[in-house]
Amino acid sequence: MRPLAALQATLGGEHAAVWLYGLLGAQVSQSREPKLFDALSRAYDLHVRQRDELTVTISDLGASPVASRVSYAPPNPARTAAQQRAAALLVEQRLADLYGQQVESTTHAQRRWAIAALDGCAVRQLTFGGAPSDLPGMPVTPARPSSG
Amino acid sequence: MLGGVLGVVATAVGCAPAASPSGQGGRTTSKGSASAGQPRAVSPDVAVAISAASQVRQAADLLHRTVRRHPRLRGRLTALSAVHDTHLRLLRQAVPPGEHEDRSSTTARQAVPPRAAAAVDGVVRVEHGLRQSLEGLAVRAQSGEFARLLAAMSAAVGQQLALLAGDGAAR
Repeated sequence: MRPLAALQATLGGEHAAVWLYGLLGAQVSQSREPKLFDALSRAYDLHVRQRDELTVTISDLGASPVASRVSYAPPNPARTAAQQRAAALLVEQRLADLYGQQVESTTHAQRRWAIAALDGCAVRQLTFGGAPSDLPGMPVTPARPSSG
Repeated sequence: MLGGVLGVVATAVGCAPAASPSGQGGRTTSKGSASAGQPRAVSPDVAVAISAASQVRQAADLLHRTVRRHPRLRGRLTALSAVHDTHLRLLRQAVPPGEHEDRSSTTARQAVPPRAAAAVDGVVRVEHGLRQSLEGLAVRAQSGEFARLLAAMSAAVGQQLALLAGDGAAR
């Protein structure tokens, strides 16, 4: 994939993440699930920042950044805390793949930035109930042999 | 599933020519010699793989010595150890026969402190260093696929560090 195409694909993913985190933040109960609310709020702020940085990077390359859609299909109804965690986890897994693709397709500063973003996605997966992986952000994640 | 990743490694690194098509040329190392003491050219990504394998091995070595000295830490450190094993297996696939992992570390072998908490702190420090090194090597890698693999390794170490920090907070 060419660097610009990878950047655009990642920006598309960030648009979706910002939209979905906005939805999840509106659904979660701050009083009943304060930790989840806090985690979703922090993730929303971070993805807004990353979306804006990608927009600037793509504009600086002389291209038009892809626009956000009006709405996206959430992966589940996001009514319960478990559904909200699962939706957030899916967002971070998809973004980790996109940032992995960006690492692969870019060099220098753009690659360095994507590496840091991939790292953040991997750690946030744990926050939303994901299991650690041997290779987060790789298209084929090897299963670890069971120790039992 | 590991086969797919091994394929990436072999394609990205094992079969890399000494001089890359990008024209950046091969780096030479003093390891091995093709003929009569001439340093053999090692492709840049093989040099990156050798360096990464060496650093993962050092971190794994400290982890093993830490568990030997503090068996009660085994439960907390097993997952991290398994991650190192997987990464080392992949990186060793990337080093062609005849090239050797750099075992002549310039870093002194770190002693394991007698107190368990201090020993965990030592492991965490080394893992932070490994994570940064893998990130730097991912930036250096010429093959995009290999860069992605190294970045994924760094992210896996990041996850394990987050889990260790969570364990610490729960103590």
